[in-house]
Amino acid sequence: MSFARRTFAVVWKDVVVERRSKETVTAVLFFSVLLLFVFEFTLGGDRDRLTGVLPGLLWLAVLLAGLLGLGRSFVLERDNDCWEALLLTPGDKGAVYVGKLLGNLLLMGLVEVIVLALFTLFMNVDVARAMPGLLLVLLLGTLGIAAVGTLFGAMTAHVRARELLFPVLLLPVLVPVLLAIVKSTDALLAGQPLGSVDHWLKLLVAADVIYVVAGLLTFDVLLEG
Amino acid sequence: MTADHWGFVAAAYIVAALALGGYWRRLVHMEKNLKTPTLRSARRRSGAR
Amino acid sequence: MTRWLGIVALVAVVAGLVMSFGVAPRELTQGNVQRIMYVHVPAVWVAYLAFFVVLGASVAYLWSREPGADRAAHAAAEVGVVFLGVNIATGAIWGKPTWGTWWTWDARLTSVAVVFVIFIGYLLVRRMTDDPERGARFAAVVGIVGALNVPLVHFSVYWWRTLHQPPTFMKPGPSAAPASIRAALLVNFAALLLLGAYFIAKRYTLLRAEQEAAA
Repeated sequence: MSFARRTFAVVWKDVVVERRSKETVTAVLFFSVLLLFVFEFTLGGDRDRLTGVLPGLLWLAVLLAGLLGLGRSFVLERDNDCWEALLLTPGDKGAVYVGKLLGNLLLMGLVEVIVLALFTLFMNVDVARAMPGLLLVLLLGTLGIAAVGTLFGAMTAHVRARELLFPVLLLPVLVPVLLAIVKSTDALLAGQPLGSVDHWLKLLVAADVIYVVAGLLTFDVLLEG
Repeated sequence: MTADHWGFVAAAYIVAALALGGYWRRLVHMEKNLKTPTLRSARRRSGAR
Repeated sequence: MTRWLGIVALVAVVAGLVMSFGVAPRELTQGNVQRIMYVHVPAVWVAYLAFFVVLGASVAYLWSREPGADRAAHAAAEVGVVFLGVNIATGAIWGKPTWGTWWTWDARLTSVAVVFVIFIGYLLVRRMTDDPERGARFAAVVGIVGALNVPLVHFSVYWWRTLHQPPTFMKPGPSAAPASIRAALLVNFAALLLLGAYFIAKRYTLLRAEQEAAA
């Protein structure tokens, strides 16, 4: 079976499972709505202050909601005794990594669409103005988050206190990506041209390359017994 | 002329000494535990319960 | 063998203290509070060197599965975290009289704080994995990703703080420093480096003894 077909098999399995149970998507949706309410309660009084921190809040919502999904990306296999099935995948386990990575990308993409929609509707954020640039930022940033999230997710599936260790490991490592996407979103939503965030985009590309390559090289090691 | 804040200087060096010294004491303590068997492990070795 | 290293380190530390308080002059702009720099700055250099060792040893471990490589990574990470902690603490103590606040989110402090938490995570992974061999593998992955991330952290935080924002604070530590200040820094760096090397060597030996006792 070729690399691409094995990858696709992994992605398809996760999509089908999620489509049937809708667990993760539902949890993420409700969590995002809840965050929206909390932000409005705490910051809504001062409209200017709220607008100022909106990019940060946006990504906080995406990150927190994404943490829910990313942390659980391997729990299914572990809980249902399917871990050995992953190990028995013929050939390079990199296909499993990429498959899981793509699945997580889809999940986070969905989270971003939900959060952006909610913010546009309820917080009066003009997303269209930032548009094609924002899409690029979203893509690059999400790739970085998913690359590390998938790697650490596989690791922490087998660790005591997974719910504690996963965010503790993931969030500090993601600081550069977070800075880049928040600062870029901030500039783009303020109407600045894409060129003004050039350095952040370059950082995101560098980070993505490092994380994906590291993931591909070390994923095998994590899957061993 | 700017104040000298010798109190802060002392505090900084003391904190550093405590941290580094404390880590060293921990290493020595671990070494001692490994060299001399603890009562529990001695009992286990002699087969007692 | 390790003991000699320890003794040399101790001598060097004393020499460093002599340099810091006896040889180095009273700094012109900050006053004597600047002397904190002689422990604050070398500490972060030693810590980052230690984390570099973690990177190398982690790669070596994943490549060869030699337990020695794993022990080296573990020891270096612990020592790195200790020295970085010293850097952060002394930095805060220096900051209070100089900047008026214990903490500020400037580029250097923020970067160091992030790296600190990353490697605390490294130590946590080992602690929370039940099987030691698996813990070694997991730690190696975290060590590699964490260490590779350090330059990214520093760039991103530096850009965040300096672009479109004039630098508000003086760079901590001497800039166009007279020779005696640089000499004091160098001697203290050598002292802390020797101390760090001694700690790593000793910790490594203890780890090996622990593993042999458990076998």
